[in-house]
Amino acid sequence: MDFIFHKARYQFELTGKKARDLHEFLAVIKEVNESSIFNHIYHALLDYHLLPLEYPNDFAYWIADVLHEPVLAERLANLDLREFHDLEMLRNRLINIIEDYLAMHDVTSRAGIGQEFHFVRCISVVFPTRYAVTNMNEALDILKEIDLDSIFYYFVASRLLGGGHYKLLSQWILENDSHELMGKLDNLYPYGFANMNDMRNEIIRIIERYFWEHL
Amino acid sequence: MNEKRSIWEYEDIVGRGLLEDLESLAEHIPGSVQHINATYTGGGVAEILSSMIPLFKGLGIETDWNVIRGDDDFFSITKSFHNVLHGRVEDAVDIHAYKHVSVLDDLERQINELNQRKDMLETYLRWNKINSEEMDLDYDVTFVHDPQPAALIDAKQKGNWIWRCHIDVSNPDALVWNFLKESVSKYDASVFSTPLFSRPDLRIRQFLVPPSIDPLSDKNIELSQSEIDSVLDKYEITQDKPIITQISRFDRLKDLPGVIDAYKLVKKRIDCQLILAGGVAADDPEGMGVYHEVMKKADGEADIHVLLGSPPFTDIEINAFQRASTVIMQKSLKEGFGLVVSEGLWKGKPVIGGATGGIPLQIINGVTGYLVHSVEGAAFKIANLLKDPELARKLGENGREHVRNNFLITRHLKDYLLVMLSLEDPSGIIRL
Repeated sequence: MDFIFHKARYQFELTGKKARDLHEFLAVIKEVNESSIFNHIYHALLDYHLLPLEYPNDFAYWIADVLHEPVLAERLANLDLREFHDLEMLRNRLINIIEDYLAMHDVTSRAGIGQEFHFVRCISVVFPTRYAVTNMNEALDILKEIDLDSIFYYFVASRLLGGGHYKLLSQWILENDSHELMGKLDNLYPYGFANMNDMRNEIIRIIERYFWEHL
Repeated sequence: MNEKRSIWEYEDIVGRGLLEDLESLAEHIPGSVQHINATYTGGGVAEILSSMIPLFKGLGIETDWNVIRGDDDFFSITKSFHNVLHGRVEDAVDIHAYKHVSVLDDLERQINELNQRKDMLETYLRWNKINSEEMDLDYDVTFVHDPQPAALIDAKQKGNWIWRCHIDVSNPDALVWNFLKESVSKYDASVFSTPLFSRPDLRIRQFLVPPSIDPLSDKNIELSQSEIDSVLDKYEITQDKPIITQISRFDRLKDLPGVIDAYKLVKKRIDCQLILAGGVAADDPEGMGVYHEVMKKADGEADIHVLLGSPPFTDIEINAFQRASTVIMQKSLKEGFGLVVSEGLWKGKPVIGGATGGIPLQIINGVTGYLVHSVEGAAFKIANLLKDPELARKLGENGREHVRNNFLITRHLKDYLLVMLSLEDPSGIIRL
């Protein structure tokens, strides 16, 4: 059966929610749409063209840069995203980290006008690419040349935001190959890599090693 | 404006992936699209639409660009709207003094002012109604740009209407905003350039789409060294020492005196020259005053080139000034989006700017340039870049990549397609 690779492009939309201090920030984190959490934590992975920033997500950056709370910012920067299989788990961890910090620190700093944190959600527009494959060898070739938005879509966005295409990819691999290979790919999580290109290279390495071992 | 342009002319600049995506997305755009604004020429909106509309057509989307008409009173009113919505406090006086008020007692004066405001708002609505009766509004998607034509929404017949706001309305005159909000609230969605420019009291969907530059326009296209030389020769500028440049109107908010002070501090240690090039806005009574103040401050120093574009500089001339520069400045005290920063970065130049408006979105401090807060800070960063060409090269290279990924017309086009598609389905995941 042919497998058609998909990708997504993202449009950003204001949620109308913003925060000027850590208490307001926490309150919004508790209720904001999960696509906003996804956007602020993960979008930097696609900004691979820039030098690495000091903080890998928007939350950590704002808390350091505007609220001047570097300890909390570092805790939020060092989230191990391999632990989170869905965005509600991630939301709960963010809440725990901030609540623990507030319990131990008297945080009074407040953002000035124009420095508020605006919560922005992303809308995914998912569509097929021109890449279709019939077996894993062809898939491997395509993975080497397909653009990084597709890699991001399958291995990050589709797994967390829905869209179902990661499941379709899993099913297709299971039909064409094995649970063992899918298991290895399942264990990939994006924050182990500096950028999406490194993640692509790791995916290719896993598949090539699997092929080598099962020749 | 019937010309088409193929997106594939941009392939060498942005690569195949984005262009293929544009084609895929365009296939799903439902029907015809119209853009409406106030002018075909002059200003950033017309500049963007001049590039954008041929690309829409090139993608096979039936697209028209139409402008509204009005008399001098109408455009004087909408100019005042623009200024007071933009939070320029000094211009708030204009709107209240529209058609001069004679000296009366306070109560009478207040009544007169209220009547004048009422007249002004009625004139605005009357011209929008005239336009709505004359224009064809039968499109599937209608983008209405900025406040001037916003009240056309009252004549909406069908499709999705999107209000595209290019200005900063975060701190507006309350009277004008509340009046405008009545129209804007009737739209299906709005689009702002950054969250900083948006409104918390707007209950319709608010999308984010930053503005963009066209890398194939005269202002940004690659120039040969001989083309650059010829422009600099025309203005009697030699290239035997580093050039620091700020391209901006002669406007107090651009802090041109601050740029000269920073240059003078640097000049004590490093031989260099300064270009300040720009025009005076026709509707800015202070512009020539600022120009004369800048001339006085330059004090005839041979290495300070204060260039008043009259007639305005051509886009190629601006392009050449930027390309000849070692460091580009945009030391604004207050700024809109400040796309001139992206123009500089696109040319591979490090840009030093004030941390205001849209500048921090373009200058990533220490990565694509520097954000500064004082004359001394600006001087220190200029000197660092002049002393370390490798650092300047690296920041310029990063800046060009940052613009390639975020501030080119092709990304802008993609965002408009995505906004149109997003309106078809509020779920947050749209499958084509």
